[in-house]
Amino acid sequence: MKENQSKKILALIFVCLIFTGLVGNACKAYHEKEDCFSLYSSYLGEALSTPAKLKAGLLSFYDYAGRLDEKTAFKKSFINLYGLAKRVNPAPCPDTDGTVRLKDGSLGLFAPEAQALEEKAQNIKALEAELKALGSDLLYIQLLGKIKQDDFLLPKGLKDFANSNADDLLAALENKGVKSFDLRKDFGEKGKDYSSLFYRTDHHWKVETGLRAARITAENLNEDFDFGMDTDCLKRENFKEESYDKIFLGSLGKRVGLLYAGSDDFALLTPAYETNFGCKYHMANGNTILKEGSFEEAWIFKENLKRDYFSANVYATYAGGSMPLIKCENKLIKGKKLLVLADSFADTLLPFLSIGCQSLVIVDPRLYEGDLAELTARERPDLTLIIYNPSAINNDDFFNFG
Amino acid sequence: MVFSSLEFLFLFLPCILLGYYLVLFKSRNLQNIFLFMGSLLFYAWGEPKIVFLMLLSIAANWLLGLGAEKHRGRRHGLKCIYTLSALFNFGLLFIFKYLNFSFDLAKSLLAFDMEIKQIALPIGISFFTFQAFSYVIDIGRGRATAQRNPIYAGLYISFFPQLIAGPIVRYESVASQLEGRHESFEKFSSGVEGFIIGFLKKVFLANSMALIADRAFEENLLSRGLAWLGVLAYALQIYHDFSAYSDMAVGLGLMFGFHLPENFNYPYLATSIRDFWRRWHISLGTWFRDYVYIPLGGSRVKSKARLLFNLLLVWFLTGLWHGADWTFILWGLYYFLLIAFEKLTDFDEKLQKLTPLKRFYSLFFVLMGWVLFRAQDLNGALAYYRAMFGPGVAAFDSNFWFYLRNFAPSLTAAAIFAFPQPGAFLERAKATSFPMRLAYAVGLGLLFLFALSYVVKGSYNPFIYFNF
Repeated sequence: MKENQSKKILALIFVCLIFTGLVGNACKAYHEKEDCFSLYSSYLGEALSTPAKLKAGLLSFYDYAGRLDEKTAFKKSFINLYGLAKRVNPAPCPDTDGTVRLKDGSLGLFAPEAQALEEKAQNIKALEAELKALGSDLLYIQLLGKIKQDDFLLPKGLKDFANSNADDLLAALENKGVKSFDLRKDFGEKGKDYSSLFYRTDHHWKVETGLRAARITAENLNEDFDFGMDTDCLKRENFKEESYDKIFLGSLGKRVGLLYAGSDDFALLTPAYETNFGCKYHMANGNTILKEGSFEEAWIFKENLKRDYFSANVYATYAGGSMPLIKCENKLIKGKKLLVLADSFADTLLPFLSIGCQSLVIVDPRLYEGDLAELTARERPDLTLIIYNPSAINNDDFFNFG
Repeated sequence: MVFSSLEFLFLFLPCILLGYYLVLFKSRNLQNIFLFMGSLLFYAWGEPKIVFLMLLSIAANWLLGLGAEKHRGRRHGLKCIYTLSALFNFGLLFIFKYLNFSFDLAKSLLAFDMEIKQIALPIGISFFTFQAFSYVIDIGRGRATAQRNPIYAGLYISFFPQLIAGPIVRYESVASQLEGRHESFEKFSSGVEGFIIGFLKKVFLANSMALIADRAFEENLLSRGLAWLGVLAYALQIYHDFSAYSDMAVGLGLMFGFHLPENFNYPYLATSIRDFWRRWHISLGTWFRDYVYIPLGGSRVKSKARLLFNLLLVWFLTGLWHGADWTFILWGLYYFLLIAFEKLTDFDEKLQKLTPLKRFYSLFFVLMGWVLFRAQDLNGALAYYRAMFGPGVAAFDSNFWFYLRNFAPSLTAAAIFAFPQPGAFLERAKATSFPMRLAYAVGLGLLFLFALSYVVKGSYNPFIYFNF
């Protein structure tokens, strides 16, 4: 009889847990009733009969329940618990989504071997020819990724192909005569110094690294394309810094929770001198946002700068995160015009680079649905840049220039 | 729907428990109808159309069951019913599971050029057709009476805990429970314990072993070390995966007052291949024994040739049951060879005196069998064997060290929990004092919570036996 005590206690715990899950999700569904109703309305359409309503109700319930993995109640707590479980595991293995804990405790994302690199290089070559006809040069800039080639921080035995993919792509571009520039060579730090260029909980580089990358890019554009940008204004000492401690849980950290990943500090860097921009942000939902004024007013989305670890994206403080198209005019400069095809690493590079250009148009090829040739013909850029971090090479969408 | 999913744990199960115990507790009839409807919903989740196949199977077998009862004692009539039942159930299985395979085979043998539509395999069809067939046979044999109520027959065939991955419950063992079962908090608690243990095995042990096994079996250039590590991991994965599902099924059955049969008895403790099959997927082994092997004459036949034929047929069918693929058929025939050898030479009995060797013998041949079972195709299996034994293969590579280093705790835990000692130790510990019992319950509850976090995180969560 006594042995059954443990089973009975366990049964009570079990019943409490599953019914908490049921009630929690019911409450969550109630709070999201507008979503549920819109789902229901989309299934119901114009029909008004009772069977149609019943069917729509069942389908929307089925749909909602099917997405429980993504939107279950207590999700944040569970993710933190997951991180705790991984933390107490003496040998936490990499997640199947590619998230890996590096030896210094920061999180990385390892990439598989990229496919069809030759085809991707050919697409860039074809774009170059198209742009040339429109009077614009093209330069491919290879950014740096968090995991260095043969990085000692990577758990032994784990292969990351991001850098070798980038090397192969650069070699293929060189063979085709496409101009390229490898920013990785300018970041020669090793080990922990290299890691410190990136957020611990995110695969992105820090704002400070983005600024440094912007200055190196500007120097290169001056040298090779005669851009005449004032690179001194991109020196760190010419920027104001606001520090936000433990405010940021990066996208990798969001997958494993605070208890495993910890959190990152975030530095908001803005020019200490006068600036004047007019930026138009074309969002994925079709809406546009117009932001005008100083660098801070035009480029900074301060609403993202909050300690809401799982919901806020602090990295998107600059340029608002990934958007299909951003057009920005620098009202204080009569200089060159740039069109940039970029991934999210550019969010903390291009705002700084815009300080030295007259106009900057940023396209995210994953999201942009318009015609790139038309856009180029309209904008008439002096130079088109393609700026990708090494792990973006695995994503075919970045090389589909429509 | 799978047991280790949030829709099951946070929606389906609490709603079913609520309806069963709070709303309908006064009427067994309503409880059974509710469980039947819930089981259909469980089955329809993901692919609603296949529920009609289930309903067709229930209706046909219910009618055949009535027919079997009516013709009980009349050899000819009963034979007709059995034939009809076999034609219907195995015909259904053939169409959905083996038609494409047979057509491809015929195409390659007869060299004709024609295409037929690929038929999707309805989940759990191998389990519920075998169960439905046993319903008709058990009634014909007089071991149980036919259900007058089609809902009850439907509940037996479609009862959600054992619907899609067993255990294959024979009708005679649950017939009386459909109406006469008794629920109690003690039973419910035992069921919860079984369910949680199964859930933990699945999430913590099987899923992490799957990461190693999948890598090893998908790798083109395997080192010898990774090949052995991979097959060991697969052996642990398939055991913890399938036995976990059975533990959860038996546990869920108990929560509703049903006693479902145990499906595993520490198979890697086996001292011979015959012993292994007495411990592995017990419900399938006994099904083949009672509905194929013994009706053919079993071991009590006059000639060795007949015995070999009986064994060959049973093991061919066992292999085929697992899937329409040559690797499964060969896997079945591999066991035919081993078991025929043991039966004819009594090799296993002679081996019993050599304690460590008998376990090694059994484990070695089971592992070799798993290679055939897991490989994508025959070429893949041959390449894998080559990596394990062939010349010119690197002893170790960085992958081997990576998996060994990163999965050492999971591998150790998976290996330890494949044997009865940890369970016995915990039972003894629980018996000592109330604080120990409390610690056990709270500890298991916490582990369940952690395991839930893995499910929420969406970790790798494959269920092997759903494919069968």
